[in-house]
Amino acid sequence: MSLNFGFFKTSLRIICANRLAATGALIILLFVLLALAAPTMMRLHLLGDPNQLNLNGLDKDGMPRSPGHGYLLGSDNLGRDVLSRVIYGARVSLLVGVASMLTATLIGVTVGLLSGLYGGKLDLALMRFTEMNLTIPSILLAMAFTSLIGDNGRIMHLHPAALPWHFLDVTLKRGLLSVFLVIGFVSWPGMARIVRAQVLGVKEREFVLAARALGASHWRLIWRHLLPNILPTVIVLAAMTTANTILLEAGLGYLGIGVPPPAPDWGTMITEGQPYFATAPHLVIVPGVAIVLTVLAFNVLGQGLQEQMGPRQRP
Amino acid sequence: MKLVPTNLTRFLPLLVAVASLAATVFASAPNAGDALHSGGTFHVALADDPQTLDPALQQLANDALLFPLLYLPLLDNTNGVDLVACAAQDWQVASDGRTFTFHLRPGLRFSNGRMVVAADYAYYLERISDPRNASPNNAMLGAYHIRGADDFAAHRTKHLAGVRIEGTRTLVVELDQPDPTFLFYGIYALPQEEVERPGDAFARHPTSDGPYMVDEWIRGVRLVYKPNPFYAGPEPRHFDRIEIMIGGDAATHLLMFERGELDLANFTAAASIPAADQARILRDPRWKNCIDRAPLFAARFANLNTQMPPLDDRRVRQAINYAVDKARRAASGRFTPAKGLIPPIMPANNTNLVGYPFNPPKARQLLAETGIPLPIHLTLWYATDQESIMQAQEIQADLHEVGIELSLRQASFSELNDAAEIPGKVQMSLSGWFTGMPDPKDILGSQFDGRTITNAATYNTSFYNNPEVNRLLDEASPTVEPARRVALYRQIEEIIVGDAPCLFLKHPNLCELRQPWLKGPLLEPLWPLRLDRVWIER
Repeated sequence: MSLNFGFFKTSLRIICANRLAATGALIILLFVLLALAAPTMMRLHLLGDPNQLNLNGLDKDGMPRSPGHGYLLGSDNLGRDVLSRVIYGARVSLLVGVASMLTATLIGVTVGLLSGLYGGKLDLALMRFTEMNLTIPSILLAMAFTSLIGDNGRIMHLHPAALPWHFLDVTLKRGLLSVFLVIGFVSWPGMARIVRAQVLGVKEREFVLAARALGASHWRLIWRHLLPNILPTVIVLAAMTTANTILLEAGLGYLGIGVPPPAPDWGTMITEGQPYFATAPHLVIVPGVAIVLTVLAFNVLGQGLQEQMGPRQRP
Repeated sequence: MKLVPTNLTRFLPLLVAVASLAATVFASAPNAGDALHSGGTFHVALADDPQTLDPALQQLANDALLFPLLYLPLLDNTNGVDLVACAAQDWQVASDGRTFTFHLRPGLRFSNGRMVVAADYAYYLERISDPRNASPNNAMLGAYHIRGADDFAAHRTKHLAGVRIEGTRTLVVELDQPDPTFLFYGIYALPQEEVERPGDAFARHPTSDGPYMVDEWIRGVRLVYKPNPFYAGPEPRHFDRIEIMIGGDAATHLLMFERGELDLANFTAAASIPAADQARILRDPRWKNCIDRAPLFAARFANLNTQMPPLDDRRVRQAINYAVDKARRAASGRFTPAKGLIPPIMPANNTNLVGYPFNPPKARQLLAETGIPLPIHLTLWYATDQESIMQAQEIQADLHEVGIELSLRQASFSELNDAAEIPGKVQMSLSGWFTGMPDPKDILGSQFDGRTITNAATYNTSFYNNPEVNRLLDEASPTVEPARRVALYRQIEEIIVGDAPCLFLKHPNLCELRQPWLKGPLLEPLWPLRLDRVWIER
């Protein structure tokens, strides 16, 4: 007998039933609400412009202001409001983190499903390719992909060279799109391996064998039996992958190859604040805490979901 | 038992010898206020490897800081305006102001032992003048109009007709027209047989006649100088070894300096304490007496490529100048906001020049007049130092307010310079100029003479070409009468400022931090840091 999609209906109950998951979800919800409300808050003058070089943002020595001197979390080396930049940075980090996670999930689940379901040479080839990607540190791979795009952009021809189907050309320039694509492309291998392992187990279950015996197509097997049963695992993995993608996005920003300025980015804020660490440590601490909280929140959410939905060990 | 001999006569010669030796030792012992000391290893750090150690092909101001350690110019300078003999023992200028005769100091040798001769200086001038070498200094030397330079550049002659060698120690240079600034042009000796060896070994391990020579250069790690055993220059050599660490940024170098691992906090042409630490350092009792300050013959600006739309429209360039607030952070004392190009300490500086005061409404008005739809998209290239990063973001924020969206592209100094020289590649680039003479000819002629655009390694990275400016540059260059000369260069500056081929930003000031044991006159307005004039005294 197969499980149905009723799992989504019980998600909220599952989260609330587990303190870890609830804590993580609350922190994420707070960041999401702040990120969504940021433009409105700016219009209502509750929040400053993150890119505004404020005249009074620097002290008489031209140094950033520490928290409390007219700026709740201080100002940065160009007189910009740190609180505003952190909140707007959450928009960038969450958007890139979630979009990258979705990209990684799409690729990872597809690869894992096909590999686990069909087996044989396809499984061999896909898993070797997956392992090859796993051997390369994701930050290095992301840097390599970013350099392929370059600063002036690159045109991807999604059609055979002999055919003039230039409507399929995609221009990749450094920006949000390229960053989350790059991070998504380096984050899928872990998910693919776990999904494959899950599929290998589920496809031997009685209800799947019964469906096969009744002549169900592969597509029906995937859609009606395999996906619903691996979904809990995928959701847990997605939560944890989001933590990794946010961290990776901050890392790329720190290296100067993330979202290009003037978009506020937590990693870039740390890079720019680093020379001021001795005199204005808030420039590093504030975005650092934001990164830690967000990554921790997604990790504990994933861990809580895993605890709640994992198999119960009976004595 | 008796320890003192009763008869000292037998020991008199020994006593005299010991007394003489003691006199010699103590006479030369280090003592505050004595003559210059020597010895020790000098430690300094660079963020990037030098582009080249060949003075004929040098382009970056930071690379030029290394040359006083490796090469002896014919003439040196102090206090920015006073010329002193160096490789040349003496020199004469003919009454027509066109002919310069240099008599070499005897005994000068290269680091391979070969005698330095007048032909080596002639070769240096020809190496720069030959367009096949794509020397970035070609335009600057060309502005002196050495007799026969055009024929030589066109390969109609094998040598510069205006450069004559008389014997082995006399060099005569003849110009087509008088030029009082020619003596400030650094002329070095290059051994042709070493320069023309296959490969680029000379750029990395040059054979030079200065106080030091390259001992080791591991790219990205360190560059080490050792004493040139054949050095015979006029100034004493002070160090046993010079170690230049390569890598790290200004903040890292400052940390190393505060730990005592470096003798200078910042080794760049615009020597300044990092902005992030300036206030702290100035208040720190350990360092506040170790700071050297001086204005600089320099300017920082952003080149605007006048051949790339929409920057080919003067109104767009003027709008950019009006849109940017140059006085932001001026209270720190690190720079003086610029109205033009000629630095404030230069005699020709025009205090009446209006320039482009901060006026965003005026900028919007000019952009509206062009009819170009907004936002306008431009790209600014800038270097990796903290000051450039901050400046680029400030420009980006200011231009955003008037409808210009600026993309930022970061690159190393050498990559930025190489890219900016390619026509049609770089729209805007943060740049600057450190003059080699106390005269506007350098900064105005090298950067804005339109005839130099054809040089593959031109300094004119605005690709600016105004025939009137070119004509006035030709008129001003040979002008000897000071008042007339100043008037002409001010006129040139006004035209250039009106055409706005660059975004005029600031004139930097030097603010160098050195260890208390580093003595000697370090700062020099023309060559900002003179490592050949300092010594360690512990």
